[in-house]
This record gives sequence, structure tokens and C-alpha cells, in this order.
Amino acid sequence: MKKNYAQLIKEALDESLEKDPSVFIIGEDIGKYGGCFGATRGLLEKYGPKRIIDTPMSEQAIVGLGIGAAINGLKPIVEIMFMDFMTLAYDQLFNHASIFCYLTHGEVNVPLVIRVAAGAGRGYGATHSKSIIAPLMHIPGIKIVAPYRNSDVKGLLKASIEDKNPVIFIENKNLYAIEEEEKGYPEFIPLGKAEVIRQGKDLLIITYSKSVKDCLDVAEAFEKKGISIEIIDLRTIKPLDMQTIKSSVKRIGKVLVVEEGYSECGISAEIIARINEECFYSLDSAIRRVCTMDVPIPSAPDLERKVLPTAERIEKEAWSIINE
Amino acid sequence: MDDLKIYEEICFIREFENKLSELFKRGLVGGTAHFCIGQEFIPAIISQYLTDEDFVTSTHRGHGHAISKRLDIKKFLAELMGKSAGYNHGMGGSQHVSSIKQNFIANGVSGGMIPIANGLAFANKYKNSNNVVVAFLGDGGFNEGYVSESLNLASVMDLPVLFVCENNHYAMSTPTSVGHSSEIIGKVKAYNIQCELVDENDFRKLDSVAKEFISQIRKKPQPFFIEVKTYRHCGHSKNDQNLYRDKEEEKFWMEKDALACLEKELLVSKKITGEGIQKIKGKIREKLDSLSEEIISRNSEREDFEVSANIYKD
Repeated sequence: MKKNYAQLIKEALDESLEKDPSVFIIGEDIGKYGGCFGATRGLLEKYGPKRIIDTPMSEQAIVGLGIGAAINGLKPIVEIMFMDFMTLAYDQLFNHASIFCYLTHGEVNVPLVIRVAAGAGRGYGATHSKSIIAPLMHIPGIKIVAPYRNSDVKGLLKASIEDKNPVIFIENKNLYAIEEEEKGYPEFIPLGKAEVIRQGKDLLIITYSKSVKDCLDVAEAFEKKGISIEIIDLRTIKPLDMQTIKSSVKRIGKVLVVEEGYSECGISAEIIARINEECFYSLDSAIRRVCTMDVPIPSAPDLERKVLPTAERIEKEAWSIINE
Repeated sequence: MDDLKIYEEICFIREFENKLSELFKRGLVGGTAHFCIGQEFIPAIISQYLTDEDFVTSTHRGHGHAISKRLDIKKFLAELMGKSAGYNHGMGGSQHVSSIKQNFIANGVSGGMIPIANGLAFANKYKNSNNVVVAFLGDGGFNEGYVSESLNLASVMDLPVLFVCENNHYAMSTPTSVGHSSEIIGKVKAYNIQCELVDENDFRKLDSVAKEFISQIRKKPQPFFIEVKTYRHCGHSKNDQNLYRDKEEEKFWMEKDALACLEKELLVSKKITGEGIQKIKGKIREKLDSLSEEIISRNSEREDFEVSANIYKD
């Protein structure tokens, strides 16, 4: 049976709600509306308003409520409509959710999941398109998951819900409608494990979320020219799976990092720094990165394309490394 | 309220703050601390109506809240002194003392625990428990945006939480007359939350309002708000000289000091004698002296302490 990414998210939510009465979902327009991207559609009818809770537009208060409920024995799933709005709740994450476990020596923990839609490419403009994951990665004490493949999204969401820590679960808007035949998808995928989703020997591309698709397209094009590209889908961004990264870097020696976040102090910057620290002598050339340009994201489609890490930009950087 | 018991508790918190101040001066406590001298009666009175299962969320000015929530004094003091025997191994310090066993959590961002208090209360309601959450905040913290969001949310979701705003008239040095566009209680009313103003350290009124509100929360989940107009007879933090305050104003509030007023009442009604008072205070000081000396005498070296542990819960 064919299912899309959004349906698989809904299945993970549904099965978690079914299995564990302490799971509830809270957010803006997640009830009758079914969530801005339809991922919670039908859950209000099935589980009722006690467990599927629509709220006013108050990101700080909603995330804070999730933290408190998590401390007091529940498993909240908070939906934040757009990743751009996560900034409103930063204090609750940076100064609250992330510190309690450490400061109490594990006595208090915060099993909270925040689902959030990121990504550009739909002309939503500067405040509804960002993938600002790096600021969250900067903070000790939270986990970040950003699945690309349909076969990963359900298993990773279920693992996030069962995790005992605050997990930011990032869904790229452009993935929701991707439909595939469901076969043999894992029910549960442990957090913290990247995967080599395409094997190659000439260039390694490290990427995550929707950018995986653009990298796969580029790899197909290069294959026809006799160049084989290996691709790592990070899946979990924090904690970063350096073991998988290092193993490919050591074998291939040429690395490109691709992401939809901004480049300055980005996730790619962190990955490059870590590779330099941990396996510099395996490198044959300088590592390069393709990110969203460091500008607010324009709305007009032609301009938006210019600032995003498109297949054209990835291809160009890939050639530079290969020819170096 | 049991006047004598409350009196002893207020005395204890004040002596605790005095002891801490002395330890600072002796260089035995580092960092900073925000004393609650003058405001001790608020947690002392409210905690009479709380059980161990009820949650208290606290602020940067939280020593009184912690003591009234029955945290172990030795572990609490050790925490403030940065020792491994402390509640949080000395990692929290004055502003971040938490003990989940006592259902007590404090944090140092003003107003920051208010959204979380809502969540603790939500979980109680979700589990059909009649436990209460008491969320302390100050007049300064009240102005943070998430407090407004949270009052609205508590109201629309009928969350079983009691907000207690300790309005000591200054957000650090900024007076409420400058920082607030209108009276706090009026803003809270606009959120359709039942509230009551306790003015000029009126501990009798606080006692009856707290008793009533807490019992109503237990009967039916809903939020309540108490604003207590009070005063700190000390600086904002340990190094503050109070240069921004008027001496007449300080004198006015010193005359309204809950500890002094209650003491006077007890003496007039002959529930206690001058000698009895000295005995109570002496006993408290003795206990605090012996606890602090015991903590000081312990070795503070922690070579084997793993500072990167517990970032995540396994």
C-alpha cells in the first residue's frame, strides 16, 4: 500500500497514543484542522480533546507546558507549526528543558517531543521557510532528529516519543506529500545512527532531511559520468554519529556537506570541524559545503531557488572537489 | 494558621538568609544569592496548605520557598555552598535548586517557570489527581512575555495552579511604577482568573486567601492568582546597596515587617515571652551554625566527579 510521509507520521502518533495513555499532543490547529500540514488529521476524532489539544498562539507557553507535563510523568508531543516560530520558545528549551537532567544528576528528566515543519522551496518567504536547526544543536541536553526517507520517519518518531529527553523532530514541508509503496519499514529506529544510503568511492556527501533528495539526484547524474558518490543521511543531527561519518571519510577522502540551514556556524560547519579534529589525515582535499545562503529567504520562486542548496549548486561544488 | 509555628518558620528563613550572608562575607559561599528577607511569611503561610505531592516552582529569590517546601536544610545549604552533599551536587547553586522527591523546582530566569508550572498542573489534571501546583513569581518576572501567555493558557485550559506574585515593588532597581502600565491584579483579572490582592504584608489575609484558593483548586481544576504587595529589607542580590530606594519607603515597610508584626501580636496576646523569642532564635542559630560548620569541614575536592555525565537520561 502506498503511503506518504505525513501519513507515516500520523501512524507513529496514532500508535503511540494507542499504546501509551500518557502520550498527548498539543499545538496550534492540530485538532479539527488536523495540523497545518495534515499530520494530525483524524486524531481528535479518535482520541478526544483531552489528548489532542488545540491551543492559542503561544509557543513559549505551549513548549513550557510540555516541559512541565513531561517532568510530571506524561509524554507530551508538541507541534510547532513552522520552524521559524521555534525562536519564540528558545528560552524554554535553552534555559529550562535542556538543563534539568544535568543539574539534578538525572533525577529530573524531560521526555518531550517537539515536531516542527522546516524547509523552503514553497515561496512562503522569510518567516515561514527557515531550517534553523543549528542554534538548537548548540545547546547541550536536547536531541535533534530530521528524517528524510519514508522508511525512517515512522521508526524515528516512535523512538523520539519513547526517548527520555527533549527531542526536536524536524519534518521538511516538501517531504509530507512524498508517496511510496510501504514495505518492510522498521517500527523503531534508535536515535543517534546515521546511515550510508548510497555507496560510492569518489566523493562523500554528508547531508540530512530534504537535501538528501537533491544529493541523490546529483549522485545519479554523476554515476552516468562514471563518478560514484557515497551519501550519508544523518537522520539524527544531535547526537551526531561521528563513527559512521569517520568510517566513510577514511575510505573516500573527499567530502562535501550539504544542508538547508545557513552556512555561518551551521551544522555543516560543526561537521567539518569535527572531521578536521578526528580524521584530518584521511582527507585528500579541503571539505566544502553547500548551504542556504546567509540571507533572509526570498519569497519569489526564482529568487528563492538562487539562495537554496539546489542540485545545481551541489553539482558545482562536487565537481570542484573531485577536480581538486 | 498556627501563629507560633508560622512565626518560627519565618524566623528560620530569616536566620537562614542571615547565616548565608555571613558565609558570603567569610568567602565560604561563591556566586550570587537573592535574599528574601521581609518576604519569608509568604511561602511559610502558603506551605501550610500543601502536601508533599503538591509541586512548588520557584524563582531566583527562592530560599524561603525551598525551606517551606521542607527541603532538607543541610542538603540545601550544602548546595548553596557548592558541595557535593548538596541537592544538585553544587551544580545548581542558589538559583537552580531542584528536588523532584520534594516536588520542588527552581530556576533563575524570571517568570521562566510559569509555563512549566502550567505543565505540571496539566499533568495533575490529566491524571485526575487533585494535587496543586504553586508557582511563585515576582513583579519583575510578571512582565516577561511568557507569563502573559501562560496566564491566558491556564485560564482557557482550567489548569489547577495557584500563581503567587511576590510584588516587592522592584525588578532589581526598576520600580513597579516605572515597569508596570497598570496594577498587576487588573491584568490578571482580564485573563478571567480569580485573584486576590494582599496588601502591605497582610499575613492574616494571605492565610485566609491561600487556604480558600488551594481548597478550591483541589475541588475543581482551575487557576487562581494571589498578588502579595511586600518588600525586601535587603538588596536585590548580595552586592546591592539599594541606592535606588527611598529611605522613608524603607522605613515604612520595616514597620510593616511580617516577622516584627507577628512577634508583637504574639507578645501582646501573651502567646510567647521575650525570653521565649530569644530561645527560638538561639536554637535556630545554633542549628544553622552547626550545620554550616559541618559542611565547611568536609573536603570540597571532587577529582572523580564526572562533569559531562547526565546531559541525557539513558
